[in-house]
Amino acid sequence: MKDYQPNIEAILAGDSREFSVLVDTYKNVVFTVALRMLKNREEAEEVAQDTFIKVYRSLRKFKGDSKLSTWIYRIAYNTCLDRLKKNGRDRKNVAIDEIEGFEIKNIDNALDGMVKSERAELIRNCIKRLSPKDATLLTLFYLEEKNLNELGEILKMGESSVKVGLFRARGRLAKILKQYLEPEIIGNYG
Amino acid sequence: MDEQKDLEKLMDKIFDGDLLDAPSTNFTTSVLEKIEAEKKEQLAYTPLLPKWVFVVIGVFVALFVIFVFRITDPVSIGPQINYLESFKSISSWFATSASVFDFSGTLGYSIVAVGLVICLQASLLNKFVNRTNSLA
Repeated sequence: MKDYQPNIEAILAGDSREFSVLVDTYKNVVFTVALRMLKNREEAEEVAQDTFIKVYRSLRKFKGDSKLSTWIYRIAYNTCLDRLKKNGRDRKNVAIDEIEGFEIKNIDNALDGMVKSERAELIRNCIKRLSPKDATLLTLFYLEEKNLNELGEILKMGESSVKVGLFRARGRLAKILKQYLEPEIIGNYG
Repeated sequence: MDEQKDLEKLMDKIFDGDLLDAPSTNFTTSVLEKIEAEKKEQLAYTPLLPKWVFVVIGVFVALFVIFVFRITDPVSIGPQINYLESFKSISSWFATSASVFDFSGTLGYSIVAVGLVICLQASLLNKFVNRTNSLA
């Protein structure tokens, strides 16, 4: 996907096959971001489709100042925010205490003792509990390997704010994981 | 500092096993269908003014023409209709009628100001609609 360069001229000329390649290339990331922000599969699918319709409409305005993927994810993020505002579910972060070093080790050990599929399911549930912004930051940073500058463009934030945001999001995810893994952690010591 | 490194390592481990979610199998087809439907909708011609507006305008024009011929000297309306004379008559009629109304300067400036505000709003509204139809 990283090397994919769509033929924008062909899409603008009405080549729907080329556009379908573009959709296929980015649909999983767009859908994942939408799902993690909206926490609802049907709504995420609808918003992801709206995102690609907006991409098609605005493609003529894309000047290539940023990567196409960054531009598409920004549209996806904004479309999700609009939906959250419309539904009155603009979920903010809850204050979470800083995680201690030993707690990180405990989480790590507890995760090691889990089956891969079980671990994946647990992580998804924990990400679901994050705020839309935290979930987007972590997903695009770890799964799409976007750098701080690109994340800043997508979320309309400065690089330093992204750095701080990522640090806090990691801490929050670890705290949520700790809550989920509490029985296993106690079991390990029992 | 060590805690931060440990946290980063833990996150690497967590997201190593994390996968992207996939939408429904007909996702791309649905997107293309929606775009096609939108294109057809755009191509369908919808007149800005409905038919009845054109009928009303036509009636007004017809009444105006009849009126012009009725107020002019019937002698001049014959095989050679003198349109220039007809319009002179109508303009003099307007001048006489308009003098009945006495507009104050304030009212005149107010009308101009309202006109400017409407023009400004129209251009702002146009920009807003364009923006909402493109990037979110």
